[in-house]
Amino acid sequence: MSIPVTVVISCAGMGRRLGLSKTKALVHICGRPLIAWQLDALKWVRDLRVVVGYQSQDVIDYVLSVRKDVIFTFNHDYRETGTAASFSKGALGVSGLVVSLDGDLIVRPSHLKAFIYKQMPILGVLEPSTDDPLYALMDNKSQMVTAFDRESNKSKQAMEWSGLCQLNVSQIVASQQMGLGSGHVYQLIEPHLPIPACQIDAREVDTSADFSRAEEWLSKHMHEWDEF
Amino acid sequence: MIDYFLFDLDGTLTTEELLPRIARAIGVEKEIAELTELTIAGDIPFEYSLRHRVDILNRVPVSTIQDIVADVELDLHILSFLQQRSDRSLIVTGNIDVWIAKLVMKIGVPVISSKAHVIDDRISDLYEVLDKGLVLNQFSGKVCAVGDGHNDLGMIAGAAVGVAYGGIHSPARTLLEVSTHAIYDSEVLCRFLSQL
Repeated sequence: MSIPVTVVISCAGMGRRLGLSKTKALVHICGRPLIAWQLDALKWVRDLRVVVGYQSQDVIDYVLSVRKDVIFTFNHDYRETGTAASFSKGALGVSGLVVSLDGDLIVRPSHLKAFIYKQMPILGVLEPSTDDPLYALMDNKSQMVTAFDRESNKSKQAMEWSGLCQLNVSQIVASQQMGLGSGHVYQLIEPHLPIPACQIDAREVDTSADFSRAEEWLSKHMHEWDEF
Repeated sequence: MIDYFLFDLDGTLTTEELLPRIARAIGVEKEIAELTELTIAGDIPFEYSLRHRVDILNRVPVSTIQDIVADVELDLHILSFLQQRSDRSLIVTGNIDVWIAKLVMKIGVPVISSKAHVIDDRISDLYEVLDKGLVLNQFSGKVCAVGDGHNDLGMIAGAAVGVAYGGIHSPARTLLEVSTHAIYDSEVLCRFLSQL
């Protein structure tokens, strides 16, 4: 069974912290471009949008080699704006729910599908795994994310914010009207907290150390892409 | 959100470029092909190219060209999209009114094009070469523009939603620098535009 869903992959940024010559979407991890793992996990999604900016032609060419039915959205201001701008642009025309997947996040396919099938505003969180996590502070009882913080808070359960979220377009528009449309996705989300959390198994590739950890993690799980 | 939809004709609504099709039918394919390729990429000025191509294709009667053009295959998704919104859709083409006259009647959507006078079934004067960027000045509402070639640049750059379309060949690279979207499948294009 398929569901009407829009997924926006934001890969407009330059990926400076990783220090490679390619935009992160095209960095090879376990033998394939990072975005290849995402495209395979989302091959069942009909309305797929890829936001491009830095090295856009290269990203477009690669994605088209996998599937043609993608809507490419340009974030020409990728140097000055963050993922919130890309997500907002990618969601143009959508009514209802839209999923945001950062271009540097690899999620196990079954986890990603289960997350999307929640069909409600929800935030993806994971056990802290990166060099510089942004914590999603959660209410222990309700399992709702109540705040984001660079510091973990001992009085609250702290998971790492993954960047994966499912929001109503009305929430995005409301945040844009508050002037929060050009920073990070978590800033777009903050006015709408608390929002339920969903724990996923995923790895973000932000720094060189993240890359090594992600490759080790992916090598354990890569068979799941074949089985998916 | 969008008040008007502006569409290129050649290679967007039609599933092949018209001038090469005419050229193939009358045996001047090679001369036209190179000019068309350079024009789509924006490597030579559109007006220079069009006038040169008119000189070549004017070897045959306008009525013959009309018949060749009228038989061109149209993308049915895009045609249906435009016909369902014919009151707020416009085809904007640098092609020439007298060459596309029969095709335009079949399409049933308003068209703005380049213009020529005809004497004895031949073009006597190409008196207006359309600047697509200026067409936007005619609209006060929000416009979505769709095209594939460099001569669509002004129209796409000035539109609220500008789509570089790659249905039959990759859109000109210059378009990717100014467009808000790039789409390579007509069904996906029409589904997206229907949401706007």
